[in-house]
Amino acid sequence: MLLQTQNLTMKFGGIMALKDVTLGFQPGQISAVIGPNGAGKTTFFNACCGVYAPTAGQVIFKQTPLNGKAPHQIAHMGIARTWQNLQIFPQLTLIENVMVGGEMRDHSSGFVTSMLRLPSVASKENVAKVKAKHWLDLVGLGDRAETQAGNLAFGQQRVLEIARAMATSPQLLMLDEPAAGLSSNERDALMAVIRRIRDEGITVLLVEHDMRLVMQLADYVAVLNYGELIAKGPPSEVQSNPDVIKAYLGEDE
Amino acid sequence: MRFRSFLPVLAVGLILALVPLVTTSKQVLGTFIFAGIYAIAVIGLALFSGYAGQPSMGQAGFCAIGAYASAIVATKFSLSPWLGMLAAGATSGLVGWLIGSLILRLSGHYLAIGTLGFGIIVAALLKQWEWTGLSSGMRNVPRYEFVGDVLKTEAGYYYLVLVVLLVVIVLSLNLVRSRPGRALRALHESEIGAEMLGVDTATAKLRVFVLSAVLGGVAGSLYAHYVGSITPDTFEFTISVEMLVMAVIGGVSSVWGAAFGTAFIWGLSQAIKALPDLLPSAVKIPSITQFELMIFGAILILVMIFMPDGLVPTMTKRQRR
Repeated sequence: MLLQTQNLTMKFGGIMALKDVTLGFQPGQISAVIGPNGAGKTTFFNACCGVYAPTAGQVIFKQTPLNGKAPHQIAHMGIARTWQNLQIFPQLTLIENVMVGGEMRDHSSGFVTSMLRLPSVASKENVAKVKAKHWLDLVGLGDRAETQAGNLAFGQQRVLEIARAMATSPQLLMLDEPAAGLSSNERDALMAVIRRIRDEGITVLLVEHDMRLVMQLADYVAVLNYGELIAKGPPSEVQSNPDVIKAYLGEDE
Repeated sequence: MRFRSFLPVLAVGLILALVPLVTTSKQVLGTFIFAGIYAIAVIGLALFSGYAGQPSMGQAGFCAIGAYASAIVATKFSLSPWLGMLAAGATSGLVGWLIGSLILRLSGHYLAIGTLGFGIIVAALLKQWEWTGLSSGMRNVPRYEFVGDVLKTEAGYYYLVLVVLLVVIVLSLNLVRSRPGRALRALHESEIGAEMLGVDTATAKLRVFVLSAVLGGVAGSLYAHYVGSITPDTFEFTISVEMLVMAVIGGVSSVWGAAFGTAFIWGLSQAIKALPDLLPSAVKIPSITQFELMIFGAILILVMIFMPDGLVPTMTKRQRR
């Protein structure tokens, strides 16, 4: 297992957002966490990548517990993510947005060396730029590299976040509702990008509302409802699970 | 290509280098010297507040620490004033690191208030310190020595400040155009976004805070050895506010903006102070400092409404169009 959660529990005041969620995700697959509104999907993501500290239970990535680690440390371990509510840097250009991600593993360009602009800094920067351009090209934004990110359409900002996350060379890419607000063309392009990322050997975990997208893409699906895990398995199996149908369609009284 | 991006620095440097050839007036050169010293501190502030987006209302506190450290080294220990400048940068940086470690957990308005408190405490402590002359401060701070008495002339000191300022501008431009600078601009816009891309935002903020403190300290040292006397009131919190106004008006996210904002506000403040002599005697301005504050306030409001990015970024954007 690349990523595991053990009895992951998250409480906000009196509200139980996640309850004893135990899950494992295989490397090299596309996995999805689905569930109705308010099921705790985004909370699950935030607890996995250090934005929230779990109330109880733990998250284990590559056999290492993530408890007490800051998001930037978790990023360095190989987890990258995108955000449902977008966290792009609007005043930075697209290429700069992606470069911030790409420069994560460059430890030599510190404050002092950068101020003196030692030759190593300039060459590292060129490498970062080329890499960033590669990711922009891959998601189809290459020709807008010098545009300010804030000027992009919503759907393009979503894809920019994927390029930026990929630039950190992650082993696990977590996508928080990547298809939300996308047109059907954009959605198809997104699916192609996600498949290509998987084919490069990167594990993908996504939270998604769009059931059609999940069923077409995912190799493995976990279903949350009111913070509890109600089903897990291959999409075809989960789709016909009576508990899942009940959770999505409601129960006849 | 790299060289081309520093052409503006070269051009501005050359033009400013001509000033002492045109005039030897102590008043004119002095105005430039003060503006240059201010600009060094304001650029430091712009790196922290503008690029990293963290408000600070305590920059004058670091100038005070630098000025006092430098003056103590030169007068109490009778060491070279150059060592004083070194001590100024080091002491301010160290205090910046200590204070920053505590205070940078705050953000937004809370951080502004925290830094404001720091500035006030520094001035208050200096007033209580008998060794440094309580409220009357320190006197007879000698000039730096360089090739005899060159730096004891106005023109000599002018060139010293100009060189330090240009070096600070080049170093700052290098910083903001490289990896750590990008990380600062990124965390300004989304702290959690930057954090999840591997940016250690807490450390990055602390580093740029220390850097801005060091620049404030160096400016303080240049001030102390130029004027020759310092008091705690020289660095009271209104100076911090004035520096913030300079940075905001020029354009906080711009090294050039900080420099030009400083020149603009400083020039304006000199013009306002000269105003009573120019007006007919029938027109009386009761308090020139109050009047000055009023004008600054009005300018700040107008700039915030019509060009929220500040003068320099707005102008360069128009030019590009």
